[in-house]
Amino acid sequence: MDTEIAIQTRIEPQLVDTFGRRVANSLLALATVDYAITDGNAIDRYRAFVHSICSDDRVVSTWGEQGVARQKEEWEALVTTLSN
Amino acid sequence: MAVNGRVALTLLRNRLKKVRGNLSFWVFVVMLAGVTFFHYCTPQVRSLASYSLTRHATERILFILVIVNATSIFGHVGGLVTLALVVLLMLPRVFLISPYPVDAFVEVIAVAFTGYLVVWMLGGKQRAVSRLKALNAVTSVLIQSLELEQILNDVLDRILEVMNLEAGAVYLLDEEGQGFSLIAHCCLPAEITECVDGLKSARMLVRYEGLKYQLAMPLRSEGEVNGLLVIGSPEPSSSLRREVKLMTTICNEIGMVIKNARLLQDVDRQLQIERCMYEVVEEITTELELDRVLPKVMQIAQELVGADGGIIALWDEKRDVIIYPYLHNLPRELAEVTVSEGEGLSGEVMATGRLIVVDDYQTYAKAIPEFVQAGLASVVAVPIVSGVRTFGALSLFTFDEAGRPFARDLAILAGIGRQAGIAIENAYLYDNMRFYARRITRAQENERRRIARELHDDTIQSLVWLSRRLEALAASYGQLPETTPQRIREIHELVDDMIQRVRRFSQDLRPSTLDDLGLLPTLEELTADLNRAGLQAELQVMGGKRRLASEVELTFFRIAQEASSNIMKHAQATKVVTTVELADSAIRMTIQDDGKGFKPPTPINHLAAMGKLGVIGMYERARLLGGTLVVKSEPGQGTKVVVNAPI
Repeated sequence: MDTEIAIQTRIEPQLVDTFGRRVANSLLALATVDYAITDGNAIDRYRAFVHSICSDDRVVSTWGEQGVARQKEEWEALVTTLSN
Repeated sequence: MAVNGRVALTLLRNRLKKVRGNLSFWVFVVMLAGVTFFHYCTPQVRSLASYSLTRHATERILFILVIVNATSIFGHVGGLVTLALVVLLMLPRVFLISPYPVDAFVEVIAVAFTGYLVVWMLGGKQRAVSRLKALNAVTSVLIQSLELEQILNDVLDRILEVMNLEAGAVYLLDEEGQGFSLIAHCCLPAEITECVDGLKSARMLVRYEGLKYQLAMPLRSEGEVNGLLVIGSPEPSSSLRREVKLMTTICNEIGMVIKNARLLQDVDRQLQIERCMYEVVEEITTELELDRVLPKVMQIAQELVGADGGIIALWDEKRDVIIYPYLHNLPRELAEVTVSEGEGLSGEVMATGRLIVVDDYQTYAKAIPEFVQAGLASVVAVPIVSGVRTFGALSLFTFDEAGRPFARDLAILAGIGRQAGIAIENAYLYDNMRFYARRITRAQENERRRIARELHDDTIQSLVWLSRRLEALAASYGQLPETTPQRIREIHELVDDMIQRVRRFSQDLRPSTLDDLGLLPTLEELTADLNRAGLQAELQVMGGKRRLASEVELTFFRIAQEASSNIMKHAQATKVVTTVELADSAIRMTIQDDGKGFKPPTPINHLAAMGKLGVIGMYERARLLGGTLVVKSEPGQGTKVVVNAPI
């Protein structure tokens, strides 16, 4: 299981559930740009992807700063455990 | 470090491969060998004069030319490598041969320093020139057109060319920021180019092993990302590391062009919306039949948003249900579906009066099973309203594109919904008007029939009686003064003439043959009247002769009567041909003359302004039957009146 599977099976469904398809698509698109332009390995790119989502105002205003920090940690840990 | 060393070696090897067939490369080799040879292998010359130190200094200076040559051929890295090589070549003489090793060493250091300066200056200039050339090449592509797909394909090819790379792709973020589309690509595997999800495709590309050495950059305009450019090669490329700033500039330029192209698309879109609204308004103002207006309005809306099909739901007041009388691109059986008030998407829209977008109809809570089965995916539904009255809902849908963004079309769709409401309101008003017009016409015809009967049964009979008495009186010669019979005969003739006139008037008001024998015998009488008036008139009947509904017979007779009257009064015709074609469910009558003709106005309603109310009357009578009437005429070409109606 790699970062792509984490994005598709965990992050995307969670965003769609919380924000609806339209906002989720927008968040995923901008995060994919950050994912692509990040120089580094798959984990670095994945972290940039998660960071992009978690720093979006729409996400912060919905989940709150603590909620976002918790979610970010959860998603990042997910890949760390997946990659191990 | 080891990786960087490997990369540098690979780069050099690649560069060497490329320049091996180049004449300049061999000139460089010869120069290097020549100067080296001259530096070490000239003992005779060296012993001839006391300039040996100076001459060796000259040779060392000549090495700078070799470095200059190498820099111009191989670029910055090649120049540096040559510099190192030259220093290595000079050192043996410094330490092993030269009688003045310190002086020689200082000279070598001076040559190395000068050589480095030359490499730095030449390399910098070369890079600046090549960057300008690259920028110019890309800009020349960007300004060629504003057709986005074409531009992005061309610009990717040009970037790969100037950057000396093999593969790349351009992804475009859609205007709603909802996803990526792969617009242009070069030398990429099908698994990436054919991936339906653009976001996934982009992530696959940056992980693609075949594009191990790559550069990914956002395409921005006014701080907003509107795309992504990824270029690279399977082998290390010096340009990728060196030209990041150049690529940033190019990507910003592409971002601006994307923005401009989209602005142009917006302008086109606005024009298209205006055109559509004009078509809708024109349709509504020129057509009052709902069966024609609503499907047309639905079609215009469908084309505008690029939907796969459309549905118009209306509230059926008689049955208290929602019906779906107008469908496009759906099975006809669905027109039989009915639902109660408030049910289904249309029901919800009609109940709330609000526009609703459903991303995935298959999972929509109020979905109607028949429509789910038909495969509806994204649906947008707008209320059809006029004032405070809601008549129904207009829905547009896609079949296989859940989550289709209709957002930019919502305002215009709401406008079309209101226009459709006005169309329905107009059609209802027109129906009411037609109902009353029919009632008034019927009452008028009944009154005409009553007057005609009164004239026939009473007035004409009285006149006949008077005529007979005058005839009897005129016959009693001898009992009357000599001049009286002559006067009585004159009065008798006058009364006979009155009888004829009243008969004709009665006939015109309502010919008894129309009620007793039907349309065709009455038209034969009308033809005979025209012949009596000096015209060459003819009646032709095609199809099964039979009686028709009294309303149809009366309407066709009145139109024929008005046309005949016009021919006699205005046409100056010599010949009139009336043709009646009777089909199973329709009748057509054509009245053609060879008169002077006229230029009919467009639209036909303008005849009223010209005082030609008779033609307007014919036109309205045909419409009341649900038929059509067309007047074809040209000056000098006669006139043809064609009337069609269902029977």
